This record gives sequence, C-alpha cells and structure tokens, in this order.
Amino acid sequence: MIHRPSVDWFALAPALILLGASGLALLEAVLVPRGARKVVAAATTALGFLGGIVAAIWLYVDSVHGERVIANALYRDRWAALAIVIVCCVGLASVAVSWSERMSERHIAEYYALLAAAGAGMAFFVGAANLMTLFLSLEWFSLCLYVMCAVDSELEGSLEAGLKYLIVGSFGSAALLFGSALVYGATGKLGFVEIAQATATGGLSHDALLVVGLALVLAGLGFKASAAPFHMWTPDVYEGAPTPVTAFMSAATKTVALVVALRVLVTAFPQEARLWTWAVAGIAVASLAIGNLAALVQRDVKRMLAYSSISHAGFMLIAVATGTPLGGRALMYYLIPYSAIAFGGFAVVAARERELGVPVTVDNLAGFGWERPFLGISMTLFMLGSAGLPFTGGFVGKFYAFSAAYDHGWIWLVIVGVVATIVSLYYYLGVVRAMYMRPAEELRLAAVAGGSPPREALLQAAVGAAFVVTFGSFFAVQPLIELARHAASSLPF
Amino acid sequence: MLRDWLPFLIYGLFALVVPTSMIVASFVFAQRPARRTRARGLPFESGVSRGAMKHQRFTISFYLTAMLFILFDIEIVFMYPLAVILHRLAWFGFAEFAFFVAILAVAYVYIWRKGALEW
Repeated sequence: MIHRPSVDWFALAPALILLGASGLALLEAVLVPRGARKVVAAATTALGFLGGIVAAIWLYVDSVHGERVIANALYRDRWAALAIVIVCCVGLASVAVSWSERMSERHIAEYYALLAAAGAGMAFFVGAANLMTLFLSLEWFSLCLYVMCAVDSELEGSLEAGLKYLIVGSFGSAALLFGSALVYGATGKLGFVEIAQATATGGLSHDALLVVGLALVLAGLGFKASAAPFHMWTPDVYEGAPTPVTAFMSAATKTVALVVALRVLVTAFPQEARLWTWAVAGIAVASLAIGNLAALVQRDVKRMLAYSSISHAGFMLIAVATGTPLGGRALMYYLIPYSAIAFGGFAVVAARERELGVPVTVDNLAGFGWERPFLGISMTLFMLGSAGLPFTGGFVGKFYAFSAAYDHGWIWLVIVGVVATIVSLYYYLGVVRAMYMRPAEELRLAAVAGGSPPREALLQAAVGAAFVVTFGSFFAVQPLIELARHAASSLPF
Repeated sequence: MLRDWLPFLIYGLFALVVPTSMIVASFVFAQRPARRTRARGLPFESGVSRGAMKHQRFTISFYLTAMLFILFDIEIVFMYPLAVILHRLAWFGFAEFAFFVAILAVAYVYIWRKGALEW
C-alpha cells in the first residue's frame, strides 16, 4: 500500500485561492471580449487577494500551535500566516496601483494572472518546511516576477530589467539550489527540523560541506532580499520595471525572503548560530553602508528608493542576525510599516510618472507637494518613515531592531545603524525639499501634461491605505507587537 | 533478489543487441565501392550530411510548437506511472491527477485562443 499524505487543504487555502484567481484571469485573457478584459481580470485578481487575506487571517487565528502538515512539507503556523497577510495586502494594493498604469492592452489580463500567481508562490514559500518546497516555491514566484518586469515591452528599460532580473535571479536560485544540495549531502535530510537533528546527533556543526551549503543558502536568500553584496541587480531592475511591479517587488519579495531566511536559519541551523549570526551581521552592515551611501548620489527617485530598500534590508537583517525571539518579533513588526512605506513611495512615484510621462527625478518632483496635496503629504510621511522619525511605524521598527541587537550585546551594530539613519536623512529629506521648497516654474515643468492631473481614485486609495498603516503602526504599536510576538513564538528559538 | 533484476537484464540486452546488429548488418550486407568515392561519403539512408551547415532561417512557430509539445509531453510522461499504480492510489490519485490535468487544460485553452497553435 502506498502511503498517502493527509492533505490539510485549509493550510493550502491562501495559495490555492490565489492560484485559482490566476488561472481564471488567464482564461479571461482569451475568453472575455477585449473591452471588458482588463476590468474582469483586475477584479478577479483583487478578489483572489482578498480571499487570500481572509484565509490567512483565519489561518492565523486557527493555528495557535504551529505544526507541519502534508507529509511535513509545509508549516501551518502564525509566522507564515502573518507573512501571507502582508503579501496579500501588498498584492491587493498593487492591483489598485496597476489599474491606471499606461500599459499595453495586449497582455493586461496576463499581467494580473502573473500577479496572482506570484502571490500564490509567495504564500507557499513562507510556509516551506523542507529544502524541496523552499526551492520549488522560490522559483514559482521568481518566474512570475521575471515576466512581470518585462511585461511592458514598449516601456524603455522594461525588457532590460526583466532580462537582468532573470539572469541575476537565476544565479541566486542556483546558489540556493547548490547550497541545498550540499546541506542534503552532509546531513542526508531535507526537512529543516531533520537537518538540525541530524547535525546535532552527527556532530556535524563544523562539517565543511554543511557550512558551505549554509553560506550558499544564505546567499540565495540574500539575492531575493536584495541585501548587499547580493544587491547589484536591484537599482536597475527597480528602475526599469513598470512602477507597480517595482512597488510589489520591493514590499512583498523582501518580506517573504527575510521571513523565510530567519525561519531557515533558526530551524535548520541552530547549531551553526555562532557562524551565521556574524555572517548576517556582516551582510547587514554591508547593506546599510552600500544602500545609504549609493542613495545619496541618485537623481532618479526610483533608483534612490531602490537603494533605500537595500538599506532597509540591512536594518531588518540586524534583527535577523540576533537570532533571538526579540529579533524575530522585531523583524515581523518592522515588515508591517516597511511594506507600507516602500509600496506607498513607489505608488506616489507612479502617480507622478503618469502625470509627466518621463522617469521621475528629484528635480522634476518640484512643486508636486503643492499640486497634489494628498500625495505630497503621503510621500512626506513615507520619507520620514523610511528615515525612522517618530510618529511613523518606521521609528518603532528601527528602535525594536536596535534593541534586539543591544539585547544580544552588539552595541557596535546599533551604532552602525544609527549612523546609517543619520546619513539617510539627507536623501529622504531631499525628496521632501524637492516637493515643497522648489517652485515648479523655476524648472519649467508645470505644463508638461497640461490640464488637471488624472484623478486615479484607486491609486489614491492604495496610497491612503499605506498612509494609514505607516501612521497607524506607530500608535497601534502594542497590538501589532502582540501579533508579531505570537507569530515569532512559532519559531524554535 | 537477483531474479527481480532478470527482466531488467533482458531489457538491457535487447537495447544492446538491436543497434549493434543494425550496425554490423550494414557493414556485412552493404555493397559499396572499396575506393573512397563521393557516394561513400554521403550519409547512409537517414543521417546528417557532412560539411558546413547552411544558414537557414526558421519561423518562430517551430520554437513555439516545440516548447508547447514538451509541456504536454510531460503530462503524458506522468500519466504512465500513474496508470501503473492507479489501483493502489485509488480516488486520491485520480483527483490529484485530474487537478494537474485541469491546470494544463487552462494553459491549453489559453494557447489555443491566443493563436499559438496557428502555423
């Protein structure tokens, strides 16, 4: 008799709902009349993400005790569920921002299908419990993102971005796969928990194969999280890809990569903690240094935000590096305002881009704050939140990450973080200065498009939601930290 | 133990004997000039002619069709092992496979309506 695994359909629900939405959107791409295609596909995808949010919240409530399901291949716990909620919220907002993006109508329904499929892959990825599901789901959402970057072939740089991401991303995937093979070779196990057990019983924690494997797995996840020195694709891809895609990638991909990185490190490699805490701390310092210094000299706002997202990866990796429950909580909390800030920033850039029809530089943001008061105030808040100033969730996130490092006895890491924050103020406040303190007439940009700016209610709603999360995560800090604490308690620290 | 491997051995033997006999037979029975003439250098029955490849342009349809063929070929490759153990997997296996086929059916409808099958 062949052993059949019992399938916990409920644990799979978010991924299945999104996969269903993706398949439906793909069918709508060819079966629905051309005129109605966009609205039907967008609505299907939005419903898919809404369903994903509901299922993930339900999963969060119903999975107090984390467990492995479906032949121990997938985690059903709060750590995964909370990450799925973040991904689905970002996905829903992406649908709203994509709505009025000027994209070629030929592939519009396919674009939404890919968005839902990427979300499904991410929902699977955060639950991965062995090296096989880890790699499978990584490729699943990566392939969707490669195509999404290149989807607008008429946009200058879009194809280039897609190709760059494909090649560098495949390199990262290959590193992860090779690392997985080495880890499997050293321990003979695929499951994260079993790898840790085999390492403990076999006394393998200094085994060269295992350590090299761990380093490669870390590098592979570093590529996806765009942490330095694995960041080189980030500015080009973020700049070239259609802005809604950039917004989705910067928020969702980074979230899942960091969430999974911490899970893999503490579940599969607790014996090697002495090694990887230092390695991750090194990556964090490199990300902070490269992200912040390179952002200082950027004129293109999308590139600047790309480097800013690298530096954010550095701040979050400080929390990962500690490998303590406090670090886990700090990471999960930080991800909530971070996704809102990163997504919101790119959404505002998308709005300005549509107004001007050219790439947005710091110079042609001039006067934006006065022309579009709501978007201007939102962008100001996102920039202040990125810098980690009070009254935004970014402040609490950074504070929490620093306190995790301090608690771990790494005061030097806190000092590096604070210096990086001070440096970052220059370019974040530069955006605010450009929006409010430089008159548009001076730069002769006023009448580029002519007429009143497009209304874009959906984009404004998405920016508004990001605004509320950024602002609200400062004031509702206690409930959110409780959520993060429950989520982190399902990891074996 | 060894008995289990007997069918495999026979299969391997066949795999060896059939092509070997073909090659040997072609040497034994072929009538060809002893001298190296031009006809001797030509490919025998089927085969690739020697010499530089001519630069030819292929229509993109070849690539598209080849790719799509592989996709559905894989579907069939998975059907064989399923057929062998279907009675043991019962409805579970059937449902799982129906799910797999359904996903490919969505892809099929998509490529068909998209016109990828038009030559």
